[in-house]
Amino acid sequence: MKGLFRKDLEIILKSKNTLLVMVLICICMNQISSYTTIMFMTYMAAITAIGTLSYDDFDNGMPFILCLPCTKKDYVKEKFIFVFALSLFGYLFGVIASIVIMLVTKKLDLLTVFESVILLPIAYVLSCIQIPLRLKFPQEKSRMVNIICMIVVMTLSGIIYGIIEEALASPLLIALVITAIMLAALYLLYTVSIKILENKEF
Amino acid sequence: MIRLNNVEKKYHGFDLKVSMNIKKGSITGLIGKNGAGKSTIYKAILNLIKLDGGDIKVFDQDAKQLSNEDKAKIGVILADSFFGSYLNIKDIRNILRASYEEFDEDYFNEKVKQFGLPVDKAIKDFSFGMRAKLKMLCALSHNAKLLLLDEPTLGLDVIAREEILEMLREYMAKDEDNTILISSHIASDLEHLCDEIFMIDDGRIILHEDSDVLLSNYGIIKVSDELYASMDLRALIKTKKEDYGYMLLVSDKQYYIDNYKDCVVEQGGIDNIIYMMVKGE
Repeated sequence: MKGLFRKDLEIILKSKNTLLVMVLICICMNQISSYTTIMFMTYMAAITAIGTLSYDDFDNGMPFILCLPCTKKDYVKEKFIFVFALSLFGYLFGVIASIVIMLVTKKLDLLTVFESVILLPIAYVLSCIQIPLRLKFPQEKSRMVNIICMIVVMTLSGIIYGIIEEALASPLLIALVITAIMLAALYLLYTVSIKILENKEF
Repeated sequence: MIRLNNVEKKYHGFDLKVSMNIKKGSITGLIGKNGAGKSTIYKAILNLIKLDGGDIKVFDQDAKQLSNEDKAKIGVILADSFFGSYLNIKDIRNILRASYEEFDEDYFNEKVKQFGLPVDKAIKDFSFGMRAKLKMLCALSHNAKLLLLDEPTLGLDVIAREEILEMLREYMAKDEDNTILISSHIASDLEHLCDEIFMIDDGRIILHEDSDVLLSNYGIIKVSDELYASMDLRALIKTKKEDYGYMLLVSDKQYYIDNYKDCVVEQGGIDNIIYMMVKGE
């Protein structure tokens, strides 16, 4: 799996200019709020990590990649870990950038920074929805399917959150239930992704 | 080393049904025209497709269950798949170093220099020959015990092809247990490299023979209708009706040279044998 991580890292490093633009936008976003900065960086990092799936497919590269010393399960596992690692990196960068800007502008608001911690798992799980979609469908079709999925997920999330909020009094319990649902969703996405790749023919 | 046992794979308009045994320490050639089923066999061995029947063993293990350690012992060239063309040699070197414990970086660097391959240029800007050499280098530089090479010389000029084949000879000389399965639709690439040859056509193995026997014993002879009617056809494999009489593929050309002075023996290699196996009756 080390080779797969290295491959994806090389892909990310090829996008140095894009990353630089993201950092500049991140700094500008801070004019809106530090929450927006952190959200932007976390999502952009997650999406960049997901983009490595398209790079793997480019030029029909997947068959060769699967001939490296890794199983199909390793490939999927690596993607989930890589997306998390990059999302975390994006989140931490956003947090640090926000704090630095706050210190420079003397407008410290650590509560917003603390509240933003929920963005990381949300960005991560929403991004991971794309993994089975990209594995199952060719790129153009997967974009369309992804938009439909996002709409469905956002709607369902709103409904489920409403139900949980009504049913449970304690914010801690709400957080625990939401965490459990996210972990279950992640496990489902992981299992489905492995199944898709194992049944895929090249 | 590799055993394909009644392997079946059906596609729309094509079906493959083969059994093959690739011995350890041998160079085995797989020859056939485009669309004969060569790449399908490689994909089956590498578990890139699902079989409709039969089983495959690699290193005495089910090919579907190979461990990462076993996969590290296999060097692969696929005809239509490689590292992404946006990567350069430096990137690929880093990926290979991370993927294979036995990656020989000194050998890799030495060959990159020897072939004059640019390390900072993206693969998409490489010539055909440069790309083929890089593919071969990637397959050879991690001490693989088994090479699966699907059309490694495709589209190359004579000089580049010979450089590639020389790398394979060096590889075989390193360890007597090293094994190669190499495919081509150009028989002349393989006839002096391989120990044995499988010919495939329309998803079926039509001939399997040692290269030496194919080149020394097999032959094409041309005979008139009258001679054909009276000939001993004990070593006949295929016939083809021609204007002058018959073209015959025989497995013992010397017998016919010695006993039938009127027959014309055609000089030629495995390409002619393949032609007769496919077109003959």
